[in-house]
Amino acid sequence: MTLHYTPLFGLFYHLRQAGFPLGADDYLLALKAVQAGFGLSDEQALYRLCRALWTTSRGEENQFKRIFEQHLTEVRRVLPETSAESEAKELAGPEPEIEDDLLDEKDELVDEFPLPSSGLVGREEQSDLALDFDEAMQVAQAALIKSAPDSASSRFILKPAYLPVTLRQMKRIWRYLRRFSRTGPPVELDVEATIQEVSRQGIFRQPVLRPRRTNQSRVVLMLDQGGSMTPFHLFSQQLVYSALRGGRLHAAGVYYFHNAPLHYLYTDPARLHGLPVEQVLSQLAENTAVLIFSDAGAARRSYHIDRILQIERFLQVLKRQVRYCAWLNPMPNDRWPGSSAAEIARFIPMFELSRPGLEGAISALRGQGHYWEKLYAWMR
Amino acid sequence: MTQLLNYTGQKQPNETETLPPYLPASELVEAVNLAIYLERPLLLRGEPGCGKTRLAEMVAFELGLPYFAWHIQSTSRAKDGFYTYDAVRRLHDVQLVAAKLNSALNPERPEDYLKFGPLGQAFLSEQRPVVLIDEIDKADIDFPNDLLLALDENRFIIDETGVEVHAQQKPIVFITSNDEKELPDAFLRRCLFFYIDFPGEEHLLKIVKAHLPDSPAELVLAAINRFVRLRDIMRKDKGEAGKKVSTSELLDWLWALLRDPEAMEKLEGPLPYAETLLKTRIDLQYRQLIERTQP
Repeated sequence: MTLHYTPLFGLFYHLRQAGFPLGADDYLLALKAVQAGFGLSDEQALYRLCRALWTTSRGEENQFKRIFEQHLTEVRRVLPETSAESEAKELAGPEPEIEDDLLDEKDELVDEFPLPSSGLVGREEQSDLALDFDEAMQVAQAALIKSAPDSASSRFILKPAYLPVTLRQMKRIWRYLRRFSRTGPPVELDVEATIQEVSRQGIFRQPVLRPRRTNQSRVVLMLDQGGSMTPFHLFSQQLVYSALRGGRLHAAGVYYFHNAPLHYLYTDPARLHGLPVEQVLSQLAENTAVLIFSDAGAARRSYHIDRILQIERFLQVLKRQVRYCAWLNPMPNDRWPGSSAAEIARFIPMFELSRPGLEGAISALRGQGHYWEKLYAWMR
Repeated sequence: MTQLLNYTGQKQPNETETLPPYLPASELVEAVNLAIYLERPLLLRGEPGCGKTRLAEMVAFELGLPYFAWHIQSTSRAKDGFYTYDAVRRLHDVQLVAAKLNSALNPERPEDYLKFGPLGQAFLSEQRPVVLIDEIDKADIDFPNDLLLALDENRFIIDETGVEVHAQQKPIVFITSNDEKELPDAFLRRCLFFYIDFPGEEHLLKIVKAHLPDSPAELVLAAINRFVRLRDIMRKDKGEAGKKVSTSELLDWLWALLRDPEAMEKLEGPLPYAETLLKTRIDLQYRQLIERTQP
């Protein structure tokens, strides 16, 4: 075969536009493989080659397949004549091919640039997000009715692209929440003490060991569930997951409530197993960090004096019990004024859901950071 | 040199060897050869028990290459795969020599206190080595990134001696992941990706025949049939993400069935030896449902 044109470039470029985190290396790698004769037996083989090189999880495959199918003309030109003819129909779905067939007729690179873009989010942002595909797919599948036909589930993919903080970033941010102390069995070599021991004894007999430094930070999450928070459940789940699994935090507790923690806090998202608020609060150690996640009325721009007073009372009790607490609000902070959120933000450091916001919340939980009473310009 | 290596997946260990047989799908064989040619690590994902871990060993077996396995634990550090350095023993030896208790030791040679890990050994191998990094997602989230430089440039530095070790031959790297933690983007980009699908009924039959060549065909067919239906029910109920019965569990189950002279009759009734297939409380609740899969 000849390579005077740029095979598969339209496909590659379209994938990039759709948010696949691909670079020039990845394209050249595919060329190298194709030149060596890989993936040339039929369309399926070429499909598998590109899939191996350009996707990183199973969740990406649906989207990859759809884009691949739109570029069949281009794909077939890479294949040697004979097999291209006979195998051509295999992958082609019932869908008509899209307008880039026309573009593919021309060999110049430039003509392939104005391909349709399916992503609304900027490319830079998306490259990070592609990582969390698997979780998103699972969530999407759980959300779909179990018997939903395949065609529907492959057409719509819920990506955490809507979330301003990715799971990986979240885990990283959680790591800033740490208070170290040495506990547990002595397993780590204490160099200084060993040297002192050697100089005292005149001979090295055995190393001095000490316990490993571990993170003693305890974090408790209190999540508003249901109602106006429904769109943010995916984020709540990721917040819980990242705190429990990735952040190396100590004994995290997770509680749920609806609108305001009035009498009960629940241990499950469906809010079936309730515990009295006083009981939960009285069991919190003083150095526990409490992060509350709720829109505090900002999502619907509601202003309820009852809700404000309930939360104020709750926060008073909470602050008597623990030293560090913060509030994370899924709505951007310019949407708070006029809603209950703006009032509540005066009782507790409240941050919007964004990367700097989450970072701010974590530093508040570490006992550092802003003088929050005048955190925002609109406050006074 | 590199083009000559071609994995076929056909060569199986004979009875004198301890390795069990392994039958990869043709797509997987294709991906292995692509990874060998492009000199990129092959990242394998798939359900537990689908044969991710065994592939590397079988590739090494067929191609006659040295095989190094590194099973990752949650405390594994990237450096441990290359080498560990026993500073305490060196200090200990210095004392013994100074006190003239043992003159055979020479603690002035730091290289005596080095121990190479699986990757370090692979780098020293004269032949092209096959390396398995098993369950990479168990380690810390920064672990894969720490491996990148070494895998990209095929070298690592021993800090204690200042020696830079270069790979004699570019290793063929297989990495398995159970998706417990998501892997960093930069790392994923350098890997080829392959998802090992659950084998179809025909392929299952081949696998079973390879493992249990003397088993009665009638029983194997009936068992696979029952197994596939059980799996379908589990998939429908739990979705793609849930834990389903795997190939390795099928083999365990067949072992149990083969020893039972009445296995054929039992397969007609309630699921026999269910404990080899259903292992969680939820699965056991499925039993009721599963009973309905009786022929």
